[in-house]
Amino acid sequence: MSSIEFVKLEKVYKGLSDFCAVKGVDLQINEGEFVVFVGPSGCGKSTLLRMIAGLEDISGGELYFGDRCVNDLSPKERGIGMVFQSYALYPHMSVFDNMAFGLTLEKGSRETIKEKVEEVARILQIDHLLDRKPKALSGGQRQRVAIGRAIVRQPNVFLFDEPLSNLDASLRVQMRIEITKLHQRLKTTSIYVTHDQVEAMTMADKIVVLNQGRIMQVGSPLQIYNEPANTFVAGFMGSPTMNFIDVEAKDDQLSLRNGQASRSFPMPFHYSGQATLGIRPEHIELQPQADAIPVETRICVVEHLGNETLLYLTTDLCEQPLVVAVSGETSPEIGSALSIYLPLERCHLFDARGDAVRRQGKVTVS
Amino acid sequence: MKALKRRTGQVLFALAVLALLIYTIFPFYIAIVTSLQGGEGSFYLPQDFDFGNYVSVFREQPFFLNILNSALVSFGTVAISLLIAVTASYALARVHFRGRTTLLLTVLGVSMFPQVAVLSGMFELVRLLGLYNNLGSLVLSYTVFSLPFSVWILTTFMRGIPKDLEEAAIVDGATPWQIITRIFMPVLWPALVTTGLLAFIGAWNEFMFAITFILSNEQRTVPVAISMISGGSQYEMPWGPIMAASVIVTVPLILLVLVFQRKIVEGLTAGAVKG
Amino acid sequence: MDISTVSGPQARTLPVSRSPRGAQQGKKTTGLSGFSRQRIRTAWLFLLPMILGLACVAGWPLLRTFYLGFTDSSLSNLDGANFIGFENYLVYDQGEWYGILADSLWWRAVGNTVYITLLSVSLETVLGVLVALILHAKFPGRGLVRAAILIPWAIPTVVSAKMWGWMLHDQYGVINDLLMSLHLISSPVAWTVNPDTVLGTIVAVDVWKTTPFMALLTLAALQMLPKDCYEAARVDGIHPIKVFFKVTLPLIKPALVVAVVFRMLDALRIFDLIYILTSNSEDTMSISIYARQQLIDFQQVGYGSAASTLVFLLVFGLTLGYIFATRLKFDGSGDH
Repeated sequence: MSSIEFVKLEKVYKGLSDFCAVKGVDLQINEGEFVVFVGPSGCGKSTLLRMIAGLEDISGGELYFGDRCVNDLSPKERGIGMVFQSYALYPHMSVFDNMAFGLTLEKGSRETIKEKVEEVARILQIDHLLDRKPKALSGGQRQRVAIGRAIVRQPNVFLFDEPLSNLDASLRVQMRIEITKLHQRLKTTSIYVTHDQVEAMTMADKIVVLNQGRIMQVGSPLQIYNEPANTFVAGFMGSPTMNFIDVEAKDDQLSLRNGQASRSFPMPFHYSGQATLGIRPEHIELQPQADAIPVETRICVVEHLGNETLLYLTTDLCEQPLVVAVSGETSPEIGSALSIYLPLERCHLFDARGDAVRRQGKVTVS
Repeated sequence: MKALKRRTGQVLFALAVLALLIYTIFPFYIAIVTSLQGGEGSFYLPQDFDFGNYVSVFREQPFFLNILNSALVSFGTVAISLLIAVTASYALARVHFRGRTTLLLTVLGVSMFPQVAVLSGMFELVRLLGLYNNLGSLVLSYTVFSLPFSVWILTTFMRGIPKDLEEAAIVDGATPWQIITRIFMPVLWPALVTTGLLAFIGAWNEFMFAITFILSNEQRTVPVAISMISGGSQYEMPWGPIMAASVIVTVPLILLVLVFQRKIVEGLTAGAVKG
Repeated sequence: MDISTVSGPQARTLPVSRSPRGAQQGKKTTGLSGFSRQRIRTAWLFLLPMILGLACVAGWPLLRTFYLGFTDSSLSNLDGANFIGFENYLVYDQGEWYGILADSLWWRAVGNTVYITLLSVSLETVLGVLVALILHAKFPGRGLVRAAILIPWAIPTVVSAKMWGWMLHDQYGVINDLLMSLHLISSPVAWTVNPDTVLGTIVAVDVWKTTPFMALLTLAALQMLPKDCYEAARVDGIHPIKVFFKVTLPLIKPALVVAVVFRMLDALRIFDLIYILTSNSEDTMSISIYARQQLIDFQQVGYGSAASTLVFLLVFGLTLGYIFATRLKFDGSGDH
């Protein structure tokens, strides 16, 4: 096991025009932590993972495992285990041989190899499949074998590259839970790459949100949800996504760009200038509230999800419709008017550059 | 009316297939009929099944030895080509390095040399190595032509292996040599068979080097041996034995083609359809 | 808010205090890690046998051929050769031009080779596409027919030359017999001897042997075509022949162009077929036959090497010209 530290890591792809996939990333990963890299495709999360694995050269900066700089070490010397998106099982080998391959290369004795493989197979409940070829396995079973192959050599670090994206939805949930359980059991430092925010929220000790090769925010899942550092994180994490409204802030007063008349509200932020107000759909209230911004709206689309209902509301505050999540039983009429209330303590304020403005005074509870 | 039109179409199509079959197979039919005939006679139907021509092929020249030579040279060529091509194509297909494309194109260029362009230089080399009138000279010269082409085909196949598979092996601690021998070769054995087959057919059929570098009857390969079967004069060609020898040489190839038809086509396509 | 409040159930050990970081901070490394460099070194090691082999057994002989072309060496006197410059190619001596380029036989060989190549490759391209279209249709026994057409390609050229030589025999040949019984010809034709028919005969046999190659490559291209545009054409009720020329042909053209290059290279170095079918007849001499005859039969290694060099240049030039003309791209790095 080992902690990992990134110091100004960079990745540049040389070409006709150099493409910088990872730009000066600094990050500290503690021993035993389960860290999830999340971001849209092309954000550099997989590149970063492959740099940790040693499959991708490090163009600049340093990578430490514990106290050791591993920039020039081969994947084998780094002592990592990796699970690939496509499973990448050796098609001509049995499940046993797939899992034992790394150990046989290390020239371990046959008995110890057998012991280790069988133990891991038991943990993953694939001990009855050891003689099968990968072809004869289901997607979930293949995924288990791929995980088993990574575990069996007892690596310092586990790397997961979107391991569940080839599975269907129900299996994905099941495997998600199993990987979490496995981590609780083995306590190996793990880095998990995904574009699925549900996976990120549910599995991570620490989430790293990436965009365009840079870290946007590092924090616990709830921290990311409750205190997004900027509009990117606020918009990327959470489903349905946060509503954004352009506002003007001055002297602790908020003025809405309202069609009828500009109205001001006192706000718990100390900021002046152009800003963006953010509020999550699930935090908008339909009942009048103290310290809330009332907004008159008209319902344009209703989406029933069963457990909740999403209302898309047109307002004169912004061009995009506002989204509100209400309980599943409500079934309002399209085109009818609706008054909603944006509780100020649930609102986020982002400055002109998109960075979050710190809240003043009492900190809201999450 | 429509049914009639369709019917005519089907008949015409069947006729086309039949014509195609006759076109390709008729010469073999004639060869077989001729080889089974003692004297001159009708060539359309075998009148007697006389294996005399077959016996005389083996009696009047060391034809069995010739077949053995051909087999030896062909297998030797295949083995050496594949051995060298596997590692080379791994490097060309899987490792990014400067000059890779140039090297690949050079290799392709070599396989397209006219044989006669290297003939005198090769002749010198063969004499220098003391391989004149020795089967080694043929293995040497055939490898030059089958190696580039094997590298080309295998490179195409190796590119098709998913990147993840190789990286999984790297993470497992496999060296490049172990990746080739323990992962790629088992996964790619159909491609190896294909490549080997094409190299084998090429070597089995080669004529120019074989007739230039080999002098004695005992060292000759089959194509040269067949070309050397002659009668008293140009007008008394022993067609019966020649056809018998042709049939003998062709049968193994026909079997290969029937069994490995799909693989051969795969290899030809992998080697050519790019661009 | 503190991150540690939401950390996992297990206790965490704090990272060990480290030695000061950033000794290299800000400094860009070369871009390649030791591991990558090692990998590239291994790649070159893997390429070494091939490079060495090709350099020694292909590159060296080719260079020697070029060199020998500038000498007067002969088979009996390979070592004691003198450098004579371009005399093998062209020299003016006592009012006469000598050398290969002044040899009418060489130019005849060039003419024959180009004639055979052009005629043979265009015929087999047309035939190959036709055969491919037949094999592209679904019918019972298709696999067997496909195997059958592979046979002419697979057999040694020597064998096919002998078989056709026998079939084209002027007295006992089955071709003459067939044509006469069909009253297409009145008397037997000496196909392989008569100067009027001999080149055509060679082309015919070459086409028989190499059409399968074209057909199979074309078939492979046909099988990769997208189905939807055919369905669209059928929905629009376009005539099949028009569909072929407007849709199929443009789509398989890249593959055809490549196949033609391969076949052209092959046809330009034609040797075995002519050597067996018509021996050393001047009527059918190809450039490869010319060069080899000078080299081995006449033992004039210098002169023959010069001819070989010309063959190389000719084939190289024509192919390059064709590739350039069709703007064919041999992309060495393309993945499929």
